[in-house]
Amino acid sequence: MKNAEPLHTNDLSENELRSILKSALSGVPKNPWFTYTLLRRLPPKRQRIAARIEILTSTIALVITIVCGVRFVSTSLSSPALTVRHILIYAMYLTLFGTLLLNITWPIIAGIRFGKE
Amino acid sequence: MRLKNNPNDRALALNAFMLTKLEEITLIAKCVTADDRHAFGRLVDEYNTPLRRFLFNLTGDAQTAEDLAQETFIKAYTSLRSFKGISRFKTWLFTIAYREFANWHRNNDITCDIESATDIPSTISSPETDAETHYDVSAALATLNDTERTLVLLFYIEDMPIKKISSITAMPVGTIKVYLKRARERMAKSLQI
Repeated sequence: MKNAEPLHTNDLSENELRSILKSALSGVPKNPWFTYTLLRRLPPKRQRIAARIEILTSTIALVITIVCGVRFVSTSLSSPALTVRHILIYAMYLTLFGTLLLNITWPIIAGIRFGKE
Repeated sequence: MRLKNNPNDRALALNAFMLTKLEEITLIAKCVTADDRHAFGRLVDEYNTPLRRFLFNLTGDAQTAEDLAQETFIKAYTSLRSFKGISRFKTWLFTIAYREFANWHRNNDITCDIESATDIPSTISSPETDAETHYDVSAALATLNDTERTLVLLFYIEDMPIKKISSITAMPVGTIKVYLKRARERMAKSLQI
């Protein structure tokens, strides 16, 4: 074996000692739960910088969507008739609002549903 | 069935599940960049057996060895960014484990004597015919001091080259050789080789 470089010329005793030690000390108590227990003991997951930037950008976009949406609703209500164009824009705002909200809250929902890894 | 009969095939099959250095670096990179717990779990699966064996043979107590191994892996995880990748992950892990053992030993202020020899490594699931050998080996190991025992375990049981042992224990190569020679002579006398 490459690692087993003999320390002296008496190779037989060296190998003999190695085999005696290995046969007596190679065992270790089995613990199938070792990895599981260890992973549960690790410190909580830290938030990555990229995730923080994503949440910040989404929050800004959400605020802008709400402001623009409210302004559009107020202007559309003052108009004489509700057209298909208005409905499409409402739908677009709602979709945008829902997506951004989900994007911000998903890490929290996932954390509650699946627990901490 | 053929694999079970042929030791070479069995060794090859075992190697197929062992991590290469590249795979190891990939897993570590995943842990560092994405805090990937599954990747770390894979590393733990790979190295927990040799590490626990080393600590078990050093401390002689399964529960203590388990606790020290857990602490070692947690410390490794929290300081994974400082791992340079020059040495193998196993070497780095054993360095942490050795320090953990030294701390534990200092805190518990354990003095090893011949009377405690029988407590040292009463290896698991051993055939009854080997019981005497185990007792002898335990007694022989107990005649060594902690440094000698550590070196013997790393060299003879974990098959580590002296250079690696040197980086784990922070001892010069020449000193390790002297310690090993002395330990070998003492053990040989005890085992009457």
